[in-house]
Amino acid sequence: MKLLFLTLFFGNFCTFSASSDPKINCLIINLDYVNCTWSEHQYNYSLKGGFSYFDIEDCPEYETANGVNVACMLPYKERTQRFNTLKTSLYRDDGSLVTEQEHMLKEYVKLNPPTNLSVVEKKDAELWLYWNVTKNDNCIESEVRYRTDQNNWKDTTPGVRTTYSLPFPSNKQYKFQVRARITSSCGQSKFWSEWSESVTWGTEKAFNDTVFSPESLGSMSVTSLVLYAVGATILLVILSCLLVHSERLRIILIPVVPNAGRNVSNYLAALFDNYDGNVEKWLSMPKDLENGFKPNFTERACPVREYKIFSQSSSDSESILSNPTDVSSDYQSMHRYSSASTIPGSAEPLQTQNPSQVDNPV
Amino acid sequence: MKACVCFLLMCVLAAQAEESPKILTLSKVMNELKKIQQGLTNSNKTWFNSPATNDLKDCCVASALECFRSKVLHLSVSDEKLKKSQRSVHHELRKSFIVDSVSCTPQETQKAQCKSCEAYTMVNSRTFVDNFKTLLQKRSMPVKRRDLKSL
Repeated sequence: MKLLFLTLFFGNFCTFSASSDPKINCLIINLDYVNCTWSEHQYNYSLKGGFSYFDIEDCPEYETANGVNVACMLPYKERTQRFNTLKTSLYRDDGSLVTEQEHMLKEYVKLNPPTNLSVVEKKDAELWLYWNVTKNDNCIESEVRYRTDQNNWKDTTPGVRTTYSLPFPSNKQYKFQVRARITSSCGQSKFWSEWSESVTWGTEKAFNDTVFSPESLGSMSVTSLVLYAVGATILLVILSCLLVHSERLRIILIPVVPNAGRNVSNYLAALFDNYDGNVEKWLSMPKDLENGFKPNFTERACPVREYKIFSQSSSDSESILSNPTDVSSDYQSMHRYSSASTIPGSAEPLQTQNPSQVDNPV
Repeated sequence: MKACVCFLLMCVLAAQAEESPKILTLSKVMNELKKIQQGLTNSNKTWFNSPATNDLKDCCVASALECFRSKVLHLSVSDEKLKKSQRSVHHELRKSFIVDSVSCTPQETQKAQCKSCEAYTMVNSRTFVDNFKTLLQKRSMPVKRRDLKSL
């Protein structure tokens, strides 16, 4: 019975000790090194480790905090090492072994984020995004996300290419980010890299909740505001000087509105005082013109005659009009009518014309 | 001089061209294996000798691939289409650019003393396919010359 009790006691003690061993966690960083951390920091532990069929080495580089080692960076020499078992051992300062653990790190890889993002707009209205990944081969896949203005991010399908095209972008601001991981064909990593630095294309919206919002105004620097104010003032001064010194510019920009003033009011006063509001008498219009404004006015019809052309010689180029007397008599009646219907001063060209030389019959 | 430059350029292009068929073939085989794994029957009843990739020397990858290739036709599947996938995997892995171990010379391979297929641990068919896929993933990685100590 005592033997049983002792066996149980020591068995539980051993179990307790094993469960209290520090837990070692390792992660391959960018296929460059292995970062191993442990859960307990009450002692200053040291670590030894190596992949199977490779040498077990002392940790070449530690990360410390409060004077104790908290992590170890083991070298990662070949890209296929993660398919092998990683053996790690933790020791105290006195050299005694604390724990030995093995790790399968095939999926425990975290790459560095992609770099050198650039956006190009091509002629056929397509946006092309380019970037670099840390280890450029078919084993790295990238995922792009983008958003317009302040909308939600849109994710795209991951692929091994380091380019992405967005057809027919709208007239907004686009922001792109990329992240990377190892593809499934090469043993997919559990973790994506961090998102890359973003790259922007396009212009931000210039109204509503952007430029005129308190947040957007606050975000503008004081220097920019001062520069804008000074520029506007200078422009105003230059324009003022131009307006003062350049009459032509002033007339174009500020057309003069005729101002009747006091003379016109006196002039119009005579219309009512002397002519009793009769505009025709006030204007001294001719009687015929005055009659034209009457509602019962009828205009005499102006007769139109056709002239027949007949030739008296064999040549086709000559033509003689019909009886010119008809023309002259008709012309005289036309003259009478035309002189009555035109404003004085404009009938002179008709009076001076020779009636026998009418060349172009209607 | 021009002839030397042209020759070097052709060598580089040839090396790159050789990489693409290998990647394409391995991707095709991996897809077929995924289909086979989904259609496995009697997974715990059929057992196969399976190399474990985490305990495999680099110079023994070729012999391990041959071990997997030889057993793939014996996997028990539910569908006639999957039998066609098995035959496809069996055929594709015969190609020289898959089998040839670029990173190890024949002397290094002999020195590695790779195990025969029957010497590997017996596992069920599902674990067999998992190990097979892992080895193909390792084979898809770019290969470099290694430190001889790792043999």
